Amino acid sequence: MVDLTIKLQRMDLDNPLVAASGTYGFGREAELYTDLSLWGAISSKGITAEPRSGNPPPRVAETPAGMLNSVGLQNPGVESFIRDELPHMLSFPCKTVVNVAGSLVEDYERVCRLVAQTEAPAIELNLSCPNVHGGCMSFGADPRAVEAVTRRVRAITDKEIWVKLTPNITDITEAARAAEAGGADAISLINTLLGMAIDINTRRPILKNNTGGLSGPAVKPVALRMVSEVYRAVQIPIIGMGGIVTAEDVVAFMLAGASAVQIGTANLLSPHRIEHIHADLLAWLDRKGCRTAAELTGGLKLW
Amino acid sequence: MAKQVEFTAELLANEALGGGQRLLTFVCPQIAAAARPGQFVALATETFLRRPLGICGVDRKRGHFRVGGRAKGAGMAALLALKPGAQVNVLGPLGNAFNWNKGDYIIACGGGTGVFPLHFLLQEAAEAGCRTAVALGFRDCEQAILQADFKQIADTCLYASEAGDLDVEGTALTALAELLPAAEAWRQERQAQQAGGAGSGQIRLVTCGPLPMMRGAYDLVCPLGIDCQVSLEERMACGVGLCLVCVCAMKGHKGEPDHYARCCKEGPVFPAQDVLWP
Repeated sequence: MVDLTIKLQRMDLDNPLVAASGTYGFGREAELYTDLSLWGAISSKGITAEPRSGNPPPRVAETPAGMLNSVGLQNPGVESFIRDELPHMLSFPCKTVVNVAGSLVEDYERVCRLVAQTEAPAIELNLSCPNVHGGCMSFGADPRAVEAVTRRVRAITDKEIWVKLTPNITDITEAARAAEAGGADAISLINTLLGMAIDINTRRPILKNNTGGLSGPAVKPVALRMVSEVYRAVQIPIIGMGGIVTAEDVVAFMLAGASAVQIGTANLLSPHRIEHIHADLLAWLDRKGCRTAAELTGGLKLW
Repeated sequence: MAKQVEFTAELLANEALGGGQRLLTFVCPQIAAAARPGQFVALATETFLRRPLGICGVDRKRGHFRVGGRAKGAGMAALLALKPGAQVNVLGPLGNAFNWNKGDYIIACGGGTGVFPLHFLLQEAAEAGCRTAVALGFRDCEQAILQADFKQIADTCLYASEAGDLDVEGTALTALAELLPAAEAWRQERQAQQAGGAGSGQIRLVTCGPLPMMRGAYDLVCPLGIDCQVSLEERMACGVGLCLVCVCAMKGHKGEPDHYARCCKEGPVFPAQDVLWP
């Protein structure tokens, strides 16, 4: 029997599969349809200090092999999240990672102070959401800001901290090293790529927000390249994501350097998708004679 | 207890309805058994995302469900080109259902692809013994679809066209206005009966089609105190409430702020008075 457990710095996962923030809500909808023990963890919808209603629709545009989203961080705010959603999430058989977003460093600190007092084992700092004007985008694109936010949050909690990076930056390894220097326990990458879709009949963008984040298989080559670069740039674990829809994709990301992976857009193709990915991963590892999933990490041999 | 919502459905029939619209009949006993009027299915095709379509009708004995539509883009074109025997991956039934009871007087007002979900409701309501009336609007008689079906199942059925080549010249709302007096008379009679201890039942207007039409239908019946439900649509991804892209704006009541609701989860059916009309 293949051992799927993954050891991270301050937290262990039963398996390397994490539900990506923004694609799984707080787990309430998904648990109607599938067995949440198939996940190692669920990363919550991004939480901000104040409730946010999000962007006006349309919030989605289909692309070849992917989609653009401009949801705009619709969430109930940290107080409502902790009171109304977190207790239920903590009852799940998989771990809970609280994804935190903000516009100012103070926002991250305020939210994380409150989350630090809860039983949630991990926090994921969303420094890379592309849909908030003047907000997160500036953090993720500036390595000094990445280090500063990470350091601030590191100072107020002993919980596992993942720093989620944007690919919309010239050199993602700089941001990764900055997060490591700031005390991050892991780097999660990549968030969505900034993109646009156009309706040529109305001569307007399809998204009401004009631009949005590209996700799905379309981004996988970019994500794999960045995971590989960051793996060679930092010592801390990497949580890889970007277009994973099959077990083979999971393997590829782990070979590139990921200790665990996040699966997001695939959940939108079917709430049962995780069942197939989980079973296929076990079958693949078994077929290849792997005793553990963890042994895949960093197995890629570059030419 | 985890609920299975993904199935493989086999296409049984693909028929032209007129006006470029087609009707697809699928074999899928699980969806046929569970589906209620107002709900939709999300069909996988060559495009990345699924295509959501309102359920037009079911045959629970045979395990069939039907959906209809026009080839607006590549995804719909691919679906509407399928040949009988094709296997399609489908999520369903999704979304919420129209709210109605035996003994109600159901008025359906629609246009465009909105007529499909209304057909399912009329079918069930008529079978349950409800009084039913239908007002549907099309550009001209070429575009009019399912006329024979609706005229057979509804007690009163008015088809309207701008061209004046159907029952009523004008829009769906012109036809709706003609149906209201009879409904009002039924309500007066009902109230008299109820005073004498007879059963309940109210007039319900359900509407599905272009936004301005639905808004107009609500404006017509709101002053009369008639319950009105609308079926909204918005570009969608997951169809089950995970991703928050398919939201529609809703009015906040009782001091609550205006907010967004998910078309696939809190909807697609919404009380008309909750909708924050654009």
